[in-house]
Amino acid sequence: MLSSKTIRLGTTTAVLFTILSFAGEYTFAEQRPERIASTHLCTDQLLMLLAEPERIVSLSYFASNPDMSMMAESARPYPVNHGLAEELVLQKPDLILTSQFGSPSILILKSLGYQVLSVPVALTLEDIRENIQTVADAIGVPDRGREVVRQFDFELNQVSAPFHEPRPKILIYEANGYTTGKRTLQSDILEMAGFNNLAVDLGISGNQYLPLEALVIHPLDALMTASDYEQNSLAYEVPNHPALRSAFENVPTVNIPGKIWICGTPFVSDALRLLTEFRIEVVQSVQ
Amino acid sequence: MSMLSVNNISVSRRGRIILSRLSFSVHQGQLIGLIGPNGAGKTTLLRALSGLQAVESGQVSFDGKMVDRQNRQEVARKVAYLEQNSRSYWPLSVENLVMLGRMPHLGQWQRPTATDWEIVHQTMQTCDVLQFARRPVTTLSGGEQARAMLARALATEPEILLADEPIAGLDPAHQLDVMDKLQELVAEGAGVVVVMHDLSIAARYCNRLTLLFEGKVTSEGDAATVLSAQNLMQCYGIDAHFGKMDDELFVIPRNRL
Amino acid sequence: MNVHTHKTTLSYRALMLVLTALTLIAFICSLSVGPAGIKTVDMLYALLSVEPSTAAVIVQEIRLPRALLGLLIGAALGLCGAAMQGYVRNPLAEPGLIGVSASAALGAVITIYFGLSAMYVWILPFGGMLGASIGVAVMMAIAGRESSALTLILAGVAVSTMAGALTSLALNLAPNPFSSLEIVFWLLGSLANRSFEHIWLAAPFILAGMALVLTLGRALDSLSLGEDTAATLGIDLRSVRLKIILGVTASVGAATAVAGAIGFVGLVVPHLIRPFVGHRPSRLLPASALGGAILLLFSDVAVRLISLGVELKLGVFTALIGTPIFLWLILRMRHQYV
Repeated sequence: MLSSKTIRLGTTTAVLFTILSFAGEYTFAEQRPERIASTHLCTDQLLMLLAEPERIVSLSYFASNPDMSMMAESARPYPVNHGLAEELVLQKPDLILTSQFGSPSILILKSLGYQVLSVPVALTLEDIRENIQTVADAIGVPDRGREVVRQFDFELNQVSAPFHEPRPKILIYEANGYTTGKRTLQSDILEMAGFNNLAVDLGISGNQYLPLEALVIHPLDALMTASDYEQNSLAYEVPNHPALRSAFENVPTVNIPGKIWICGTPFVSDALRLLTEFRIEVVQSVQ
Repeated sequence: MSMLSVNNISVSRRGRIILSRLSFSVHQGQLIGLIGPNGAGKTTLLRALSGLQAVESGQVSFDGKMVDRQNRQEVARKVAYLEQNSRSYWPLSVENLVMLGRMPHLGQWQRPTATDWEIVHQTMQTCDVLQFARRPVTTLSGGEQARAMLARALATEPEILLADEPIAGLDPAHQLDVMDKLQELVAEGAGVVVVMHDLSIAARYCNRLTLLFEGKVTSEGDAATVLSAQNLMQCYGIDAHFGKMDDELFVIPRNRL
Repeated sequence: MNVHTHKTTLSYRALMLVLTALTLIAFICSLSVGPAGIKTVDMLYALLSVEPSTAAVIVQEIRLPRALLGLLIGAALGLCGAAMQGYVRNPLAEPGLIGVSASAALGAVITIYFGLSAMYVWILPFGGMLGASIGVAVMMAIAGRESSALTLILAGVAVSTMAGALTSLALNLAPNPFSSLEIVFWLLGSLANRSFEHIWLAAPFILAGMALVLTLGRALDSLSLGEDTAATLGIDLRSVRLKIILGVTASVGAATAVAGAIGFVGLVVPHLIRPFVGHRPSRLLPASALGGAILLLFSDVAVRLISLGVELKLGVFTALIGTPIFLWLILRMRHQYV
């Protein structure tokens, strides 16, 4: 493992020929990592929320993509990585954050002795709280973690539905006719906003193709699309099938950009706010 | 003296009988012409003799021992098989193609010796393909290719050669060349079975003919015995002109019956 | 007459010498290229260095395994492509023909699907190799014991199609967008971020498989004349068939398990080399192995040099350059294979 001392030294000497110390006395838990890299969009955002900017050595190249990242602007000043082992070795991180489905470079870096934290994909709001605290503890800022979680809970409270009946039936219509059901962050948030996710009633779990017939049998109160882009791609076009058209006709529709909740970050409260407002509209239009 | 024989073999394919309790043998020093109409079972018999065709009953033996119990490469050194319309899937040079005939004599990693090359070039000369030595075999004409393939089989220097229509598609001059070569081979002590349709050439060159019809040997013996008007009518369904010139029988098919 | 013979032998030696030299150059290029921008001289110094400098770590632990895998996998694909084309006597055959690539990919994808691949380096390639073995066992069961090259192709196509369908199913049912992205990226083929653990796992299988295939030169030569004539030349067709299946499964299965599906190398390289060895399958085998290593190593250098913001996937690159080469070959050779 690299000690923080040699790393500070390393930044001032020639990058290529710094001798790394592989001293055995250093263990991760005892010393706070000072040079942190992230190779995954989701950990990029958690890291920016929690760490002091000078401790971030690089973020994945997705972090500054405004179509995918909620923090594209903030990410711009940081160096980027493409998940390549060689880049990361050059950046000399003493902690690398990644997701469960991170880049394969993580394994080679692990075997080279780098400290790696693999953060699971968040499927519930509780997962988000846990992930925030996990990252905060790992980078030695547990108090900052608790503060971010507290702030997150406060925002959720501010924007969640004040009443829970009636629960309009809603469906998420995604690119190429996919929908989102059980065991997803989206479903958790729809629930909290006072909606009833039709996909869950249909027994759909995760991201699955939408059965057209079921849709005709169960009429919708509301529809949610998930377009990230200003210009609609063909995949996102409102469906042309007659059965779908009649199901979607005159149904109030909201668009929640996918980037809000593709990652489990506190920004999902924005989605909750948009959905809570939308539900009030829907309930009023029904009455 | 080597002898390749089948004894009482039967072969059928999808319920159709191809060979039925058939016995046949070839000795060193014999040039046997295997004749008969299309579908009579000539190729199947040749394949059975070479060990390619599994038989349902009966035995295939070489030198008194069952062929399938003998060392494959040892048999390959002594029995060569020239497929009908044999062709090369890759544009190998003619000399490399003919060298394949030496393969049974070479060990797994052994390179051809000067002697092997000498034999290859000699057989190429006798088959009149030496001038094509470096040419890709696929650029030769059909007749030229057929001669190159014969050279390949001869390069093995086999004791027994099984040749399936080696002169089909050759011009008359090269037909005679090939038959002369086969005769020479027999004179040197080899045994040859040659499938052919030219009855006059068969009569002239072969010292024995075997007429196959519907999976059975209909007639066997010298040309005068086998090429009878009766046999030709029964097996080929033709009637023919028979003649003799310089004591050699010739047959010209005349009418289909 | 012997003058001729010696001449061909000499030109073959010259060809092998040129190919070996090119392989060496490609290998050094592969060690020299990367984001760290280490000069070739410094790279060679770092390669031999015993001190754990950053350059030494990069060259020894990151670039060296990548270059070695490029060498091994390229050689395996080139060799097995040549062997398969020789065995089925069809210039369109490729190493994955018997279903090995598709089933190796399926095995690997399953480990990603269940999130196992992130646990240890060896899990994904191990899954790939297991997939390859199962796929080929199924293929052999379908083809039967006495099958000819043609039934082998058909059984291989059946297994490839099935494995491909199951891979698509895994993608279809992927638990979240990140795992599907991971699967897709893996399927595109890459040598990036491979470590020595990959080599220790794959190299024994790749090398053993290649050794087995290399013994088939003479049998493949005689198969130029068809299966019947080859059999009468003393070739044991059943043993040839078993050896080619085992050899290709071990080497291509392990190669796919480590690097994903890298197409076109095994298809194109034998074609490029064939005219230089007088179309002889036995000589094509070693020459194609070197040719495959050269093509894959240079392709892997190219994906690192072409800057599109993100590293191009190796399998995508080989397909991009392979297709035009292949079309050119078809146009040039059209008269030969009519």
